[in-house]
Amino acid sequence: MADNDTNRGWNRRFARRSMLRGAAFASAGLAGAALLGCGGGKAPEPAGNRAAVTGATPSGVDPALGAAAGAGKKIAKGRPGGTLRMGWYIDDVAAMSHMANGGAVTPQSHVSAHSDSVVYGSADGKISPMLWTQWESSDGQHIVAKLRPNLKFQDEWNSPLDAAAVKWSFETLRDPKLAPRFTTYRGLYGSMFAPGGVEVVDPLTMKINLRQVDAGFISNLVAGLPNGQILSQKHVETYKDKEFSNPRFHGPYTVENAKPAVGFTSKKFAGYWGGNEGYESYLDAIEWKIIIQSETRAAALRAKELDAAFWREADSVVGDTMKEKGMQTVLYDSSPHALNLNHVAPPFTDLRVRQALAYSIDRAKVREVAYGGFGEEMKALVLPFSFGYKDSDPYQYNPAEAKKLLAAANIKPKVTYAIVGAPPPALANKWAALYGEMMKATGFEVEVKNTPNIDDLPRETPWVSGTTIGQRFDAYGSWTLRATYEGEIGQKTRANQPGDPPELRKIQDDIDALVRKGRGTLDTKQRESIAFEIADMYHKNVMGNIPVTRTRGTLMARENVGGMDHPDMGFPLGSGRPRFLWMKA
Amino acid sequence: MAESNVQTLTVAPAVRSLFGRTTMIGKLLRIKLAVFGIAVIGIVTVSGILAPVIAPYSPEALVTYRSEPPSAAHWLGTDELGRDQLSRLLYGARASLAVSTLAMLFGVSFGSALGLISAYAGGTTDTLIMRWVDAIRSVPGIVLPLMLVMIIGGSIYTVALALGFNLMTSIARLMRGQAMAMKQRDHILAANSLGATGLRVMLLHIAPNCWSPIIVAASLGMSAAITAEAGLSFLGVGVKPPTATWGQMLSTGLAAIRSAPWQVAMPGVSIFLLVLAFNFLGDALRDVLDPRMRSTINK
Amino acid sequence: MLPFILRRLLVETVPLLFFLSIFVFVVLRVLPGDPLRAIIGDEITTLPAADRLVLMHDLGLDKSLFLQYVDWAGNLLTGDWGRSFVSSKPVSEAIGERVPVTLQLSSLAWILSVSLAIPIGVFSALRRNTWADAAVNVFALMGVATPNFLFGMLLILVFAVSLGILPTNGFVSFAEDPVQAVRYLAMPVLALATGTMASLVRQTRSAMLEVMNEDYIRTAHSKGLAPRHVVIRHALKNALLPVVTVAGLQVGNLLSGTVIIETMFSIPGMGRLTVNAIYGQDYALVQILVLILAVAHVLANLAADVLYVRLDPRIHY
Repeated sequence: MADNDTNRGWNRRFARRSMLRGAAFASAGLAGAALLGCGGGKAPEPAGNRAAVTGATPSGVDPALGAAAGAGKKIAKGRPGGTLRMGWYIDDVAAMSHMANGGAVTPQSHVSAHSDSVVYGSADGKISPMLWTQWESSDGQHIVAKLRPNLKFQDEWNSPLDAAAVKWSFETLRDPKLAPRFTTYRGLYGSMFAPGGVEVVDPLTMKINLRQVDAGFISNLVAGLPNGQILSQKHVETYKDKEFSNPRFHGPYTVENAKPAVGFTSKKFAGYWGGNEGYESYLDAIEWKIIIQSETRAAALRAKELDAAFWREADSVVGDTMKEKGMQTVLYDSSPHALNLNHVAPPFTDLRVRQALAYSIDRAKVREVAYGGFGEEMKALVLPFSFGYKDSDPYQYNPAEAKKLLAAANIKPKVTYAIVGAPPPALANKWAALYGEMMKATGFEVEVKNTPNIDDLPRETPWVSGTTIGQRFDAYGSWTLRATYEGEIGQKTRANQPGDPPELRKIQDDIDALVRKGRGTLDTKQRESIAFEIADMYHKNVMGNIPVTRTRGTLMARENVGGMDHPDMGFPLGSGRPRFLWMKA
Repeated sequence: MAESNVQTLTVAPAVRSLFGRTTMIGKLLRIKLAVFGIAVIGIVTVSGILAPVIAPYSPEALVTYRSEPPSAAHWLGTDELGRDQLSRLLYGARASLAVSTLAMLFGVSFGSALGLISAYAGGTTDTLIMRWVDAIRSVPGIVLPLMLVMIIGGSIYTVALALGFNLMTSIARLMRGQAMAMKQRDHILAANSLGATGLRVMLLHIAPNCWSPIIVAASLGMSAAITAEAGLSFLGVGVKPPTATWGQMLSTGLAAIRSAPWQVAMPGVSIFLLVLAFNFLGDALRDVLDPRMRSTINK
Repeated sequence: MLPFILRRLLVETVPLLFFLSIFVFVVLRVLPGDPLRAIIGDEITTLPAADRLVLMHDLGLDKSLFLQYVDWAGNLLTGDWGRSFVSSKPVSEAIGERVPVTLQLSSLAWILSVSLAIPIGVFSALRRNTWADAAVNVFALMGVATPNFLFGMLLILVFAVSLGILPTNGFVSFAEDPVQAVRYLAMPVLALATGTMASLVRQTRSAMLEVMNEDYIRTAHSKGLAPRHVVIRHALKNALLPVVTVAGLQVGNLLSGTVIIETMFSIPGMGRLTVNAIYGQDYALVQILVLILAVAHVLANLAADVLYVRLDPRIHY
């Protein structure tokens, strides 16, 4: 039961959107690093320099080793060969990497086995070259990028992955006829490109034209956009519908024997990066076995039917299995977890009630009870290595203060705790029990409701809901994305609809203005201070989210698996990248 | 002295008429397993009703904040969130019984109404109603409740409604069959010829004579509802937390079956006993109410 | 016999499916929930209105409910079952690959429960009121009263984790490798069959007891026929009649049980697909799945009735 959260519809929906956003804004942090010119041997550009977004490759760096090498750690090379049997928790569609969201944290782990992103993000917060060897922009709106030579698709013709292929893939994202596959990307990223968004300069060089200056664009490419989505046009057009069950990418492994609800095999792709041996992955193959029930997956790992297995959240099964002899565990950072509230519905329109709610939350207890002691407490809505990270939430657990505020406001707040998801994941059920009790303790009256989607509740409902950030995120974290939406898709934030209290609209307008300003600011330091400013405004006014903890996804492996200690294994944008893993003799 | 004599005189026949050898209850009480069933159901009902009084903690309060084995403070241990298992079990009795009772009431009332109308009206109405009933009945057990609860959300009422929906169809069939047979009986024909209206005949003459199999089906339906609730909880669409139901306790406890077996054992045993009790009761009722029907238990 | 079957199919099954298709179609569309959400996920909130119209049009969701039904039913009859909202795979393909799996699982469970339940039930009836009878009763009751997912989990812990003799999960088809198929299916089949077996045992036992009390059995005994002969030729044949009907009805329970058992044991069958389709609001898939499950159920009952007619000498066709 515990793992109902990790599969089926809820997860898929969750993965598509929220994790995407989660990753996207987590990666927004990397933009700062990109500006420092991390990829190349070049010196960081001075602030305000026009060469805003640049990067280049030191030739011959294995991406599997390069990042760690950059962090000054020596990583032992693994033993080539062998087949890894991996337990996987998402049923059906979401398990197919081309359907899985490139930005979703854990689906990322097998997406990254099958395809590369154009740039690579590592645990030390740096962006390094991957498919792109260098990229350069003079204005933050037009980017010239160069592809690695000899890239090939895994399709039967071994079609070249060149600038034209990138152009076709990026532009195809905007075609509504290709729904469902690209819809998410269309909504989130398609709109970033200007019409004719990608120009082919020469077979390896392309120019990307954005609609507006977007300082965070490159960081979005780390995981968000075309990871797994640069496709062979010939393959897609030849196989049409059948392509879903027979996808071909360009990464170190090829998806084979994909069977719905059963699994698939990632088989080593000989033509990866033109067959250059320096970029090989270790394993001959990874057998992905879909086992949706958490308990059954753990049993399979114990019974040695699996060498390793993923869990989306550390649950009691994880806690139990970790103790097994010889078990290795990577708890990787995943999105922050927050308490989300509909702050435009009374009584939350009263700042004191929002503050009282914020004071009611005992982060230590949430970490202890909901996450079994895994994870960390958070006072910000982005992860610590993210751009704009600041521990700035001023409200720490203080029930006395909460009661005082409610007394001052003379309100006995009646609120709805919404359990979101159909079926509600086990974790959401835990949150409900936990937050419900904490709120009751400080004088809130709580009614628990279950809703498939939070948007199904009437707008005037004063709901509170535990969430993994991104799911309901519409403030500073996703500011690169949000700014792109404005005026284009017409997305309005929760706080900015006619009829909302004017003081809340004012705050949101100010935040929006800062977001716009930040997006157009190429100077890293300046941009960072804007991000801090947004965070402060956001937290001070309790605008919709109260940061609580950082959650953990889990990869467990038995002792015969090597590579679990790679530093990038615990990094959200590369969570458990299987290419680091190898089989001990 | 005289007074007490009077009392004995007046009470005894009343008791005898309720519990006497020839009455339904009297007959039931002579079936050992029925007594067991009634006793279990009685205990569960009483503890459910008295839960607020006898439960040592609030069922939703996170007392220990982590799973703890049984102890003096927590006789049955605590669950993964640190809620007292005994308290949750007592309140869970309430929720589980509420779900199954409501499902039964819904199924029986609507089912018998449909069956009666169908049988009495006959013709096109009969065909139409029974086609619908058969159509819904043809979908295997848990699928429609799963669909309904998933769409309308999980609460005691919605789960009861969804499970009652299934029971409704079988009760409707049963009632129709009974009523059809009854319709041909002399006294109904007589009432009809005397000009009694349709509704009157249906309610006063047909319905009261059809109850025996319905009561049996209702009892078995309650046991089915209890296991079905557990199944829905396992699939994640049961009664929404933090409300405790036995099915939910069992399915969430499953995650800790190795490290905290008490979280599985207690709700498991409770469900087991209650389902058994309703089965015994149903079987016994069948024997008592309708001797022509097959008995499935030892007499 | 053939006219009987044909009449049942035409007069009962076809209208039944017609009514059911309307019911499911309407329920899925009238109750709240945005079908586009299944396709797009929560991004639905940011979907441009123009794109929304395009998608609604592509899926035919911009028509009236009645026209949608007519379109859908028309396509259904001509063999076009539509496409899954979520994977855009043809529904026939998505379901087709699952049918053999569930068929193997549930028919094995059915065969196992019938073939064990009848002899056990007979044995129990013949040994009435002995300790063996009591033991059978206890086991039967445990089977009825234990939720199958709990039983399944216990099986996994004992046979896969502790003893290591059976695989924890997965599926191998009989067509591929019969030996492995048995290993993989052993626990799921057992977990699935227990409830059915238990009620069949009880049914058989009581039917036997009743028949054994009939006059003709006493007559047969008094004629000096061998007890074995009496039991098999006279009692069992008559006792089986109600059991056959119940065994047919149990197919519904088995199909219902696959929903849970396939989830538990990670078996890629229809039950798991049903759960996924319902959770993913994949209406295109749900409405067909429900129909197919109903057809399977109805056909099983029809088969039971045919068998009943065969067995019962009083009925002729």
